[in-house]
Parts: sequence; C-alpha cells; structure tokens
Amino acid sequence: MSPRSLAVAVLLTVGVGVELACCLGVLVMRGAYDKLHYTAPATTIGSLAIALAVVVEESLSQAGIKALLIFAALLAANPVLTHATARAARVRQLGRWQPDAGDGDQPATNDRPAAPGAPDR
Amino acid sequence: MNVWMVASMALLAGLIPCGVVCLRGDVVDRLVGLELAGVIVTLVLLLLAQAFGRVIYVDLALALALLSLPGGLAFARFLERFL
Repeated sequence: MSPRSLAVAVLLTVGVGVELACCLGVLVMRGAYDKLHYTAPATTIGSLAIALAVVVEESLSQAGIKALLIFAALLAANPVLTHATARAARVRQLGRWQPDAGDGDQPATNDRPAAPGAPDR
Repeated sequence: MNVWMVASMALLAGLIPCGVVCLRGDVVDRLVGLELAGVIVTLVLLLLAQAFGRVIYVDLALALALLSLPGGLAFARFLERFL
C-alpha cells in the first residue's frame, strides 16, 4: 500500500465518518436550533477531508481543482443557510426577527425606536 | 469496486437519517434535514465521479453545491413569510 493510497483511505474514512456522525446528530437532537449545529462540521471538516482525498489522488488537476471549488462553495454557503434557517425558525416562533425588551436575549434599553405598531410606553 | 465506491456507498447511508428527519417534526427541522441531505448528495456525487474515473461528472457535484444555496434560501424565506 503506497503512502498516497494510505492517505486517501485515511482522509476518506475521516470525511465519511464526520458526515455520518453529523447525520446522526441531526437525527437525535431536538429542535431546529440544536439540529443546525450539526450542519457545520459536515461542510467544514467532512467536505475538506473528502476534497483533500481527491486532491491527494489527482494532485491539482482538473478534478482536484473542482473538488476544492466544491469545498469552497459548501464552506461559503453553509453559514448563510444556517443563518437564514435560524432566522426563519425565530420568526415562526416569535412573529418577528428583532429582539424586544423582555425576550431575555438582550438587556432592555429605552433608546431604541419602538417597533411599528407597538403600543406607547 | 475501489475505495471511492466504498466511501460513496457508506456516505449514501447518511441519507437515511436525513430522510427520517425530513419525515418527522416541525417544518423547520425538516428544512435542516434537507440542507444536510444536499451536502451529503454533493459529496456522494464527487466520490462517484472519482469512482467512475470521469472528471466531467464532477461538474454535477459542483452544480449541486452552487444551487443548494439559493434553494435553501428560498425555502427559508418562504417558511419565514408565508407558512
């Protein structure tokens, strides 16, 4: 077994293992906010390991460069998707996105402009 | 049956938990399962292209990786506003 094929096998094992662990995490956790945490390692560690396996096998040929491009696309897309999904979950839960006094996630201040339609205080 | 094919088949098993999540729970939970399934399928397509030895198949994985972002954003915005 050459060092190159050994490195490919190790990288593929790590990548596939991380992906499967993330799938199990999404399955086991309760609630969208907890589930969303498990999409991050899938797009960073897992996809980096698999893309590096392709690069080790093919060096920086066409397939290697495209594998790195796929990793870059997944890496850039995941935070945006996570934010949009968490925002959708919060809007569905509270009816708005902005924090308000009494939410418990920021100290109540009086210098913020009131939300439209909010009663005068 | 090379190592790439074995890895892609193992990774394909990860779609089962994603499918279970997509069938149960709140609608936002299902969206999370769908997003993770998109990532898994992208990597499966990359591994299958390597297994078959066809570089041109990598374009499928690249297209899916690029298109899953607007798809997920559209779902999230739709759930936020209309459902």
